[in-house]
Amino acid sequence: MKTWTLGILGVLAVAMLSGCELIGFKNWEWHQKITVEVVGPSGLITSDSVIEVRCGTSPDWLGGGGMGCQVKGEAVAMEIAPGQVLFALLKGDPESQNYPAKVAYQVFFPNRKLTTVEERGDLLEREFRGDRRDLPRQNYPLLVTFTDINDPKTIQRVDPDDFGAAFGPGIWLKHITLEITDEPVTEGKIESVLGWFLNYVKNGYRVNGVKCVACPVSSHNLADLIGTGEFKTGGKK
Amino acid sequence: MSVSPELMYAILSMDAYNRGYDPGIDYGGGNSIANATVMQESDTSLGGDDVAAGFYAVEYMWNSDTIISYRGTNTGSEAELLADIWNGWTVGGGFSAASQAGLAINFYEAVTGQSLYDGVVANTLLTGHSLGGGLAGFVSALSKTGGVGFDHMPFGLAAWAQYASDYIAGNVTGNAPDLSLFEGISVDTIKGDILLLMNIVYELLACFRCYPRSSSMQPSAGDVIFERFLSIHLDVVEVSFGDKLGILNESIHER
Repeated sequence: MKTWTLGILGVLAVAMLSGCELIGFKNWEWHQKITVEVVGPSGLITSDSVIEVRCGTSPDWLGGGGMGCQVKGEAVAMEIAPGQVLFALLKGDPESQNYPAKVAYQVFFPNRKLTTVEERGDLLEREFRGDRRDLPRQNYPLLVTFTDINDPKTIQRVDPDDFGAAFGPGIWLKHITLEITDEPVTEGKIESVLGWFLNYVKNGYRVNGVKCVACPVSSHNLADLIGTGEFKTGGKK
Repeated sequence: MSVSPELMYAILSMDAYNRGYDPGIDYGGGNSIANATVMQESDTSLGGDDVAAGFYAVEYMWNSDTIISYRGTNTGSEAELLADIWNGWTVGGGFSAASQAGLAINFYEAVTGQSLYDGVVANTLLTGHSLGGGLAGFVSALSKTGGVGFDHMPFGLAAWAQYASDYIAGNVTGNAPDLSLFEGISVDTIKGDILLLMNIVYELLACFRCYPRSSSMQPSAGDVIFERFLSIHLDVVEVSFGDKLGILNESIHER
């Protein structure tokens, strides 16, 4: 049995010393910028955020297992009017997972049968710099706002087709785009807008002010389903 | 067609891989599988402690029973795999302090509303595959709530180490240990023997499912306690780690 443990440690040592690709792990990394454009009474309002995405696959000798991704970055924060801020979260529709890591795969490769997982990773990492695409509706990030920016429990969902309900008449969403970019990861905007944010991160609270161990999977209250990670993730807390 | 309990436990062990963050298969939503309903899940917030440790668990309601399924090893990327190895597989080596072990206990307590040592929780079962099965066995061995593991990771040493640690810390409340375990041993010597056993356990951490026997060691009261604890709390059948069919192969008996 000691041999097995030594074997595992040996594999890990080889991986760390010589690079995981030698033993079959593959990784890709890119930066992607989500840009939200809104038309308001005073004209076009634009805001964006750049995140880092790292995806990888494991070798066949480990049983394969699909692809895993990690994300570092922030949600888009757009001031529509004083005290009224729109957020495009690092989360898709509440029912879906894998957002935002895999949204680039879905947008740039709508027909996955034409390319392999490795080909898609290579293309995103090396070939699509500067390529900007409109996000289809099914790939929109979850749009939210707070009726009181200082009270996280007042979070509410913003209907992409009815910005007026959240922000007043004459305001509508033009489009949301995704671009593969060289720009640096956006930092510091979320905590500058949300005064309570760092305290909630420190305590592991969801937006409802509760740290959950066993968490609801559905709720009429959006605050029960949203954590700080949907606003900002990765890097040092 | 009705589904046997064993098949359903296998299905739910698999389903835990396909929910939460980085699902193996993205169903695109839905909180049910067959006639089981997802009630709660562990925290999936990006950057949270659970995700950072590679931990994920789901509570299901099935035929009025609560089923807790712990997810196994994520092999989607080396980062995920390393998180599971460091925070989860170390349970198999006897490290009860591995973070997924603590998270597994916390999730169990949050779902059941009972502390770990408060005894069997009625109409509740723990399950999982591979690492998940090891976590299920770890929590089941300590709580005595029934569990089923599929191709599971070892958990006995970690369960023993956790129990010994909690007992010394005075955390084993509401469920006093069976003193027959310490038959013939005075209370004052119990701590000494447990500490001795903990040292033995840590020396054996590279050895899965081994017992503290060697030609240089005389059987001691501590050895008796160790083996009696395992024989009472665990009833396991050795299985092949190559068994990928997930056939029911173990059960944790209630005392």
